[in-house]
Amino acid sequence: MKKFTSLTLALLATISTQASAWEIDKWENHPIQIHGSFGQGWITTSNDDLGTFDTDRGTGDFSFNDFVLNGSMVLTDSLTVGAQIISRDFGDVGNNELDLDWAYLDYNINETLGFRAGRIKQPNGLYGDMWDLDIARTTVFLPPAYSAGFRDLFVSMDGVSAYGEIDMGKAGSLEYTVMYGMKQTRDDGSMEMILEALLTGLGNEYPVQSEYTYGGRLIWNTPVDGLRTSFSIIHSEDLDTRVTLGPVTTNVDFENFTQWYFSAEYTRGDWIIAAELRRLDFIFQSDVLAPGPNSTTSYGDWYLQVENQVTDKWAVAGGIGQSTTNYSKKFHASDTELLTTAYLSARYDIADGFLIKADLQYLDGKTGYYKVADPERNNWLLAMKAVYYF
Amino acid sequence: MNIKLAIITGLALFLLFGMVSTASADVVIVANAEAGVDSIGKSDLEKIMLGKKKKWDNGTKIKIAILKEGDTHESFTKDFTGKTASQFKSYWKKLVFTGEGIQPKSFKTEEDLVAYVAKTKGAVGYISSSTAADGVTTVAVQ
Repeated sequence: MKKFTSLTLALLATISTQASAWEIDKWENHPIQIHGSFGQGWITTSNDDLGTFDTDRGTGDFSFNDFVLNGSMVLTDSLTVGAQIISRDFGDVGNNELDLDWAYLDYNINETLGFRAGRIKQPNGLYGDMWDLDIARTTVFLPPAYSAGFRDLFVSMDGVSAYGEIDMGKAGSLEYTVMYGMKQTRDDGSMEMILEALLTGLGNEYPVQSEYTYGGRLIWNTPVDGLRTSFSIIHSEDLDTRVTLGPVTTNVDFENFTQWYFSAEYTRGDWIIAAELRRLDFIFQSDVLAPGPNSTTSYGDWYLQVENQVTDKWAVAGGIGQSTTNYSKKFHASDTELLTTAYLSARYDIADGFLIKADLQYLDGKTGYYKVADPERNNWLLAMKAVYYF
Repeated sequence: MNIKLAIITGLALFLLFGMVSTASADVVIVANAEAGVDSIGKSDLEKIMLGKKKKWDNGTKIKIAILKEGDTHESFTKDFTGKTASQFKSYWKKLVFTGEGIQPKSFKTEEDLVAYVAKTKGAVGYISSSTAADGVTTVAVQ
């Protein structure tokens, strides 16, 4: 397990052992709420070197953890301010460096209109804003339509957003979020997984950034009790980075970078069924690496997941999904890769503030960020995680 | 595995177990006097308890008080938010850890909840019908 930064250790040392949030009542009527979580995981597979993990058979990899700490304060009846830092390790990605996850001012006019400005979470699909939130879901990993390699591009952005809910009477209600801003990832972030897969062996040591990004999400809470559907879309222009090929460092661009989700979720009692379709398209451009006409790459995913809260402490989930990657033959050996994933998950809440969970996945095929060193076609993956939160 | 059979079986189990319901306790909504409300629509109450409606009609900031656990809490979340107690907890964790909401104050006993609502401007919560509602306004749900 990679070591934490000294600041992270200092923060951990000050965390209360109680499960409830800290609240600092220094300023009367303006308490600061502090929350946090720390999760340590272990992952192993039936193969070696799955994605960014060194999962030697039987030994597994502990480079799988995350720590978040946030504070929020109500300034006036309409204005709230808050921020969250995150430190995560995901195999070769993250390495427990501290990042600002989100930090913004929230001005709420009423339930139909509010504004946020700063580093804001991106709503992708139904669960894209829960990427690092083990405590809000049963599974260790998000469903198959949320690829770990693209996490850094979709988790948050610097800009502004408007949000609210519009009551439509007997037709239900519409929750909306629209946003505009810029993105920049870390230089050793998750996009390294994607670029290594796209460019077969090349690494990326530079941040990926966009000149501007816009998009949003619309959730329709239908008149059918428990049923909601959603459409979300994100589009980035001039998304680019630099890669190194031997002595040469060159720009690579992802033009017309667009991702959308169609989603549906039905909740009935202790059961939740969710299904999503996701599509990501971009035109890859590099005069040095892939000269000539532009190269289109597309990713398509779908999944179906069923979840049940069996008892107050136990929850289980299971699902199946497929991920397809279509590469341009100009810069990649294969034109299409297909990965089918079937999974079972279980979560046990040991006490308020402490839980454990596990995912067992069956992987048939391969796709860019799940490349494996061994050419065996089918693989098993087991991931376990313990999470403390307050 | 036959994927279609697995999906059909899963949906059948979902529909079967989803029909099981549990008995509910009598829940009474209580609010601070300065909220200026003695009745509320069920839709508005749901929006309030899910953090979507943040101010009363008179502009006062809403401060939510909830119970940590128990029959009253489970009845309230099921009947007035459409979520089980676990789903309600996960929902609020998501709001807090994405910066979209401030965690409601939670209480072990209904008496403590009533005391908080009585002294806190704009506060709203819920208790069982057998608990004394001293110093708070009882809110009828339409």
